[in-house]
Amino acid sequence: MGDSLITIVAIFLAAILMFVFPLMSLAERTDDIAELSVTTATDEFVDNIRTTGKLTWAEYDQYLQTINATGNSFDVDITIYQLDENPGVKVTQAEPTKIGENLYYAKYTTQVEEELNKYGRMRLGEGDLVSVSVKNTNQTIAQLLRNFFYQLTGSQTYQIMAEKSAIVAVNGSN
Amino acid sequence: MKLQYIAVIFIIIIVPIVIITTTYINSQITTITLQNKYNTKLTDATYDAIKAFRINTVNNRYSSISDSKIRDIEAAVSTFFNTLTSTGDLSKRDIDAYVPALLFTLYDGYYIYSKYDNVVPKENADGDEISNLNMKIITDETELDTGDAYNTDGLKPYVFYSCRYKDGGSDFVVNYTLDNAITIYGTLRNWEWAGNTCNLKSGYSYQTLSGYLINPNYVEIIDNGANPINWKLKYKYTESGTEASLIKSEILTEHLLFTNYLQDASGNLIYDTSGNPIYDNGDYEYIVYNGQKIYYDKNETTKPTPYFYYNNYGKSFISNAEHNKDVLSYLNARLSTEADGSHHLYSTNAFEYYRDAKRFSEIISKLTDGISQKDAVDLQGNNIEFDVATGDRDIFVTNDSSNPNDPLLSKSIFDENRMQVIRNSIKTNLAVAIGNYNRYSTNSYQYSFPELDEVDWGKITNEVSVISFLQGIPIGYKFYNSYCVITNNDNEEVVKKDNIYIITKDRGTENNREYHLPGCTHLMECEFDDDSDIEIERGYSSIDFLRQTVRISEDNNIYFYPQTRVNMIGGHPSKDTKNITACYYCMVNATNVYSADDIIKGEIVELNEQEQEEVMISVVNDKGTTVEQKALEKIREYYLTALGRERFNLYQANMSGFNT
Repeated sequence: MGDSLITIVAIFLAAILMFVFPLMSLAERTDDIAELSVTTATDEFVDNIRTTGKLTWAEYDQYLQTINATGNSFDVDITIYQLDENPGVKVTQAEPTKIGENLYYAKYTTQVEEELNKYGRMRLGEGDLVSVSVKNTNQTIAQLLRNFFYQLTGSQTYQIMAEKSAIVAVNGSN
Repeated sequence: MKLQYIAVIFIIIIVPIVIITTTYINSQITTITLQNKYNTKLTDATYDAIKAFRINTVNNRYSSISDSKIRDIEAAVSTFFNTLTSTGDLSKRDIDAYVPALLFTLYDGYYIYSKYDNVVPKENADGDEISNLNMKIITDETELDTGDAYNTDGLKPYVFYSCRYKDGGSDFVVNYTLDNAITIYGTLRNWEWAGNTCNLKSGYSYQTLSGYLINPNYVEIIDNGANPINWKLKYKYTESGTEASLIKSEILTEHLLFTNYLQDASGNLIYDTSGNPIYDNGDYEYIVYNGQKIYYDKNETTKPTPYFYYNNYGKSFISNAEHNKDVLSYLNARLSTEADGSHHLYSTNAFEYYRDAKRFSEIISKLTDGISQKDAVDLQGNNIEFDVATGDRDIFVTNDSSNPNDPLLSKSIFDENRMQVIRNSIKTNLAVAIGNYNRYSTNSYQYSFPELDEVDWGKITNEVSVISFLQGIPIGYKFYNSYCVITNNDNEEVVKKDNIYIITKDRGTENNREYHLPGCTHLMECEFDDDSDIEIERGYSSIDFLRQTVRISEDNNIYFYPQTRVNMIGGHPSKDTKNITACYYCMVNATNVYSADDIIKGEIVELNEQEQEEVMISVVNDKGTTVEQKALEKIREYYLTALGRERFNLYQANMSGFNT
């Protein structure tokens, strides 16, 4: 009786060790690789906006294709803050150190996409801020396996994510 | 075999695989993270470098002079290294070894910052030995390659964007610039200017010609008589038509702030409401003479002349001395006396730009007839291969209506060749500079010139830019190798087509002044009739909208914007100026603006619903008396005036004998 129980436990442990552990480990590595490529793509995307001062529909589309090629689905959040350095271009002698109000007009993903759809491009100016954040929306194999053993719930559980923000360095041209 | 053994063997096989994969992927992640970190740092540092250059040139009133420019660039180099080393773990000395070159492209040439041998030749050009130098004599060239005693980092000599053309008896070099200005020197056909045309004569001679190349058929001079204030010319809508934008003399105004306090008639200081004395400030009419702004003080009666330079944040009046005779006669000829006895100073620079450019372009079109890209040769006389071939189409002939070539427009034959020459020159010199770096480097890394992509070449050939190279830093299992191109046109080097802003205001007042890009869609929708609410005041260069610093003492700066206007309270200027705001539709949110080329052509071309290009608004479209068409006519007139004036006003340090 005792032997059979130990055998069952051993088989069970062996199954975990032989199948689940390698599978989990490889699934995690797959996600790491996906994250690596998403991070690289995001960095390139933002750096490109930063040094050219514009965002085109073609670049945005290319970026989406690159990240989706990892086999996951993503939620892309773009926020662009457009700078109005000094709406009332003036400097008062009473406040000589005050350079400007530095107002920012924020545009979010839907507005950016709308503008790209309409004009095919978005021109940015020096000092504008661009911030892109991506998270996977599907469940990767690693997440599935992990949930099998220890349940994680909530909408903020993601496995692959990348973030990048930068200040635009040039005034975009046509 | 028992199941347990199989399990153990399986684990023995799989665990190392998992460990190795994990380690490898982790190291890849570290590599990519480091690579991204260096990318960001490089962009930051390059941006800071160009920003330093801009701040220095805008606030340096002598920035166009060569020595001063070198100083500004050296300051930019030092900013680059400061930023690169400020947050990282590498010191300047460490990072220095990984930067093979920095490139600064300017208006008519470029500087390369790199390592070079800091040695002098043993003999001078005449073959005489240089003996009085207290230096060590190097007898063996291999000594140069060892250690760093003889090499130093610094700017190499300025290289012009030049290309040699040879055809028949003509053999000349053309120095290109970032816009339509060129200098031609070498053996050219003899010519004479008779009446209003250029006639070729027999024989060749060595000549130097500088000027702006335009299509001369567009320009028709109406008045170039004795009184400069009445000078005017037409810049036509089409080559053959009669309708045109009128370019005439104009009044230019700037706000200035001085370091002295405002005083009333009896010499007492004037205070603001909070009890602080007010710095003197006011609006002054100005014109540019020899690249320097000269202002007119209409209230000045005690000085010999009412004209002054803005020097050391004060007025430096021009004296009556003999050496000022030329400048004073230039100024006095442009000072009007109005019906009410008041005076105004008129700038005629825009007129002079188009008048001189017309003459220059006609001469060049005659002298270089038949010169095309295939005539471009290098020092040895071998033909140069360019990446984009324009075949045997004339480069500098601009007045042939069967072969359109308007140098003011992008993608003209002239512009294409200009970009190719710049690209070729930079590629050659930079490849040598980076290749040579291997001689000085102690790293095992092989430095080489990377392949720059087309977008970057587009930026480099059209704008003032800084290109930085960072190569050979070990990151994980790889070496970091990247470059960064950052451009900036808000400096006193160049006036690009997008660098003209148009000011609008409420009709007849100084209220609600707003500045726009010339292609602003909002501006294009305005009615500019005689009874419209707003009117166009004038176009100015974009740097007139940048903040200027007035330094009172160490750590005590005050600022002003030249295009704000004085705010008179109680009969004296107040401490605040009237403001001028940026247009939300084009300056803040610049997505949908028409291109400057469209404004010059007088045709707005857009994609229609079938995705085909269609002329939406045109100044020569008789069908439309639409609001937009009138707006385009007005905008084109102010835009061309401002573009001509601002380009004419640039101080051209390296272009002597302009328009001769």
